[in-house]
Amino acid sequence: MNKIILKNNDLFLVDIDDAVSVKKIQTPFSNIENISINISESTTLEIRHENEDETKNEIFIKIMPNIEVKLIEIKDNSCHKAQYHIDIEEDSILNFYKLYNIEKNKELIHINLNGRRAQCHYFFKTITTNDEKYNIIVNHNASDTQSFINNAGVNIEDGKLYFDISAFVPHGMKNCYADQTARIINLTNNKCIINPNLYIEDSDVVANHAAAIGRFSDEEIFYLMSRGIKKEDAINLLIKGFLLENLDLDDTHLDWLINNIEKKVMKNV
Amino acid sequence: MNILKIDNITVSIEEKVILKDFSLTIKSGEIHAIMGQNGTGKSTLVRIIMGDPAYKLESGKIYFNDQELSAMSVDKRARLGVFLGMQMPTEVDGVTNADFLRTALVNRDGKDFKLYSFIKKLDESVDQLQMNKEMIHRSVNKGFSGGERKKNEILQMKMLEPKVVMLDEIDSGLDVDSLKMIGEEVIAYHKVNKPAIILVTHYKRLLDYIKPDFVHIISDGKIVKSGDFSLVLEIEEEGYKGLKNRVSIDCVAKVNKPNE
Repeated sequence: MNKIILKNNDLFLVDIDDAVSVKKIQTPFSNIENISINISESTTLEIRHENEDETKNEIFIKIMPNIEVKLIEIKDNSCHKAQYHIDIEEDSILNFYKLYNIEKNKELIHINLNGRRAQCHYFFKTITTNDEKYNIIVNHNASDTQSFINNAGVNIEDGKLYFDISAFVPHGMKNCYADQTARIINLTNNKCIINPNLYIEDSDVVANHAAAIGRFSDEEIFYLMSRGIKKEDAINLLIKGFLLENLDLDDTHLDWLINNIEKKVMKNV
Repeated sequence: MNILKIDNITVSIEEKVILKDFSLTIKSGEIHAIMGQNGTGKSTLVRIIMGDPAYKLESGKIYFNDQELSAMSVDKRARLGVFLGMQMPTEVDGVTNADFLRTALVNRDGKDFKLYSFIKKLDESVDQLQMNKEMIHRSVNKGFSGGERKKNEILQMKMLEPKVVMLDEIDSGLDVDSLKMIGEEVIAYHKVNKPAIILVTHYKRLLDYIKPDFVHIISDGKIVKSGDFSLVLEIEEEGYKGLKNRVSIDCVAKVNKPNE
């Protein structure tokens, strides 16, 4: 699998084939790391952040026409600030999985569906212990484009989780599909926010949004406990179910997420 | 011999009293049918035995052998061997049936849990219940039809091997063939494991397959009449209203005698 590792201002490329080209752009007098990734063939790419210190990234990703890409981004530990510019060209599909286990994070993500029939399937999972803010902007710049934006977070300890999701379908962009789902399981008394926004200027569009912040229902916990499962194990099972849902990933990535759930969440249940 | 003893309990939900001074004793191997009109307290009875926190035990106690069940958490009761097959089994999104059952058995058996035996038994039970094998890897009850949910409850019963089986309107939502199969599965389980069984039902059709030793009619939170299977036939003939008119208040004093 193509793999990019970002570690303390260094960039490591592992098993990168011809489908992926990566450039690091040095910005003078700035501590922002700029990385440009160009994907020209159907492939799977993992981007892993292993920074020990606070980092700032600007990441440009271009998905060329007629391909399907699975992109898996993993952020482990430390604090991050990042901007993403993702361009998806005609007849291409991006399946983007973001699995996070971090201290603090702030992201601005631009997803540009530039070519006809371009699609983005976006699945974000995080376990929040501090401040995390995500601003996701989806631009349907062509007709017949589709976006499925799925955000899920479990908020624990001193966590404050914020999602602002906006989809733009300008006038003249026909037969587009814009779908947003965001759900936060808040196991603290802190305030979490979800702002789902749909800015639709054309009438030939299907658009949905669903947003929910809450805890697991008493009925679900009772049902699991009525089969002999201890309360903490019941909540752990529900959290795993919540975070693992919709993830079409291999065992290594699922195990990474499961281990983090067990390490981070269990002590808070 | 296991004994479930419900000792003079009064139960409320949202400050409304549902069961009043209710007593019943059930021994292992016995099958008790609880019948009655809607809203008389049948489901409340099995829910309070299981420990549903939505129901409040105002007074009285529930014992399983010499242990006070009513002082235990829901999961402890279940690990002791109490099982409730629910009227409307809950959907648990994202948690697969297999994960759910494995976690339940690991919680019960600890280090004695054997993965191979678990998989083998699960496979056999799914076949016996003519369930689609793929359902094992789907979220618990998510997208299941009414009948599939009820079969899933029976699957859990078979896997967990409880000593007290409470089935709350397990017959609702089942077609004739599924009802027969579930009836036969419960009887087969009863034959081997000899659990105490409490069946909550409105209809005779389930009791044609699972013949009860005792039938109790509940009205206004109390048992107003107890008897054998012939009582079910009376209900079929006269309905609850007709029967209620014939039952005088002194029946209440007699009802617990078959079990004492």
